[in-house]
Amino acid sequence: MEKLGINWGLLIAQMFNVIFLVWMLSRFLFNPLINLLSERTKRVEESLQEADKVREQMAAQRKENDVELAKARQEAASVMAQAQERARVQEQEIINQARAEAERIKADARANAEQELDRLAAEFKNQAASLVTETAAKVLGAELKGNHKQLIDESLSRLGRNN
Amino acid sequence: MTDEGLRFVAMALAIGLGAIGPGAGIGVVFSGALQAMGRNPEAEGMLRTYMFLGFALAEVPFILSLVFGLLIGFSII
Amino acid sequence: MRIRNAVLVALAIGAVMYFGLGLVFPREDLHISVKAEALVCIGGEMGYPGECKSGFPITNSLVTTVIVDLLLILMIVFGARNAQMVPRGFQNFVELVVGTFYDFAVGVDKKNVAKFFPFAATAFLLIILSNFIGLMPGAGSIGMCQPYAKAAAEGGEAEHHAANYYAERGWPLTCEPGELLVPFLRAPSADLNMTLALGLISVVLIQYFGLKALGWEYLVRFFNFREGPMFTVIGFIELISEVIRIVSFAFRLFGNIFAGEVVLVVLAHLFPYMLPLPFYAFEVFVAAMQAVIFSVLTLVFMSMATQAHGGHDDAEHGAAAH
Repeated sequence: MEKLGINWGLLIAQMFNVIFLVWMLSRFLFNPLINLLSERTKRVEESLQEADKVREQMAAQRKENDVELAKARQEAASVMAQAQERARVQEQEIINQARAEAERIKADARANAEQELDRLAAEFKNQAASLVTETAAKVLGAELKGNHKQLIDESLSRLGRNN
Repeated sequence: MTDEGLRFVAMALAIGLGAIGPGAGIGVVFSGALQAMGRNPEAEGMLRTYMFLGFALAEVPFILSLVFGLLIGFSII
Repeated sequence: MRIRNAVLVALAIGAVMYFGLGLVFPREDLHISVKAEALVCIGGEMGYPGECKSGFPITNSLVTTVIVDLLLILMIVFGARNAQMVPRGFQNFVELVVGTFYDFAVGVDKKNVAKFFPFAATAFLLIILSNFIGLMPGAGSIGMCQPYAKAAAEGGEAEHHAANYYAERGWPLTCEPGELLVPFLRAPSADLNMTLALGLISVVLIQYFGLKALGWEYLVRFFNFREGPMFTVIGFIELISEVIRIVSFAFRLFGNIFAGEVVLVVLAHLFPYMLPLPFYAFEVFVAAMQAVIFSVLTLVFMSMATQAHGGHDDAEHGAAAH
């Protein structure tokens, strides 16, 4: 034994060393790392599942969104159609109103004009009568005193006919 | 030939002759394991375990002859 | 053809270096020691170089063991302290080593992996680091000089040594004539104390796990008087094989690593240039292989010890799950 180098003291020292190493390595190296590895495996699995779940949720969400969008689009279209309809009705109304207004304004204007014309005609008739009377008086003097009334009427009616 | 010289010859013979059988045996173990792995790759894990077991068992005679050779060579027995 | 040419050229260059450089740098005399040499003796005095007459020897393999311990502590400090969920730098490497071995251990025995893993993995790391340190340049070649003289003074037979070429010519960094180089570093696995300690602890743990898993039923495989004399003999053989297991664990590791060092030293002595290189590479492979073999055998034996006598279902199940 001695010649092979086996020394009891060294043998026991080496055994203590091995036991110490087993304790130290399992305490500080293997256990933390194996826990870490298994935890990492677990976490990776979890996050993969989570990702799957999120993906599913997203797909569902997207489908929901699509439905909602379609509904919204439809609604918008209907709203737009309604608005267009209403606008057309309103436009028609406005046009009608405007046309009526224009009619009315035109009628007013015409009425005014006729009235004015009547008034002008009456005035002119008066003025013309007095003018004729004056002129006739100046020309004829007192000759026409007897039946000038009849003459005036006569010339006036002629004038009115000519007019 | 001195006693010392005879001891060395004995050591050499013990180790050398003891290496023949285990050498062949280990070769057989690994060749069998490799063939089995080649035929059946799914069983590789199990085969590797038993391959090392067979290797260890086949090597024991050589270890014994080495020990006895060293014991003889260093005039312990 | 090209490979043969390359080999021939390499051999030619090696031969030229061998003869040319061999004239300028003659080789050191060969010295191989089976046992780890003592550097210092605590509470005693040095005897023959590398040995203590009395007291506790601090051997070079013990020094290397302490260095391996420090390396493992560094591994813990830089690899596992503040281990992050997202690994960074050295933690990746440590996780790779530990995780790969853990997966392998799970493949061997899924049920008991938590019990078996610490010792097997410790043995793996300890042995692989020991072997690699033994292969480092400088291990086995840098050391202190201890005189032969004391042995002769003791009155033992006078030692005859080939004169050290360098020492005789007064080269620097060489030992004086009559002194021997005792290296500071030696692979712990090339020291029987360490391998025997590992083997002993391994076998004791195997028995412990067997007893713990099966109770007294475990001993039936050794002392089987129920099933006839045949099984009694087989049980006796199993008992002997448990003892042989210690020896085989210890000497397999020691034999491989020590033989590897001897092969390298002898080759470097006979043919110093080029030729040792492939053998060095082979020794690196052997160094890793022995670590794997030791730890895997420990795992397998432990797993076998925890199975009921004659039952192999669990092992096959566990291995198939791998």
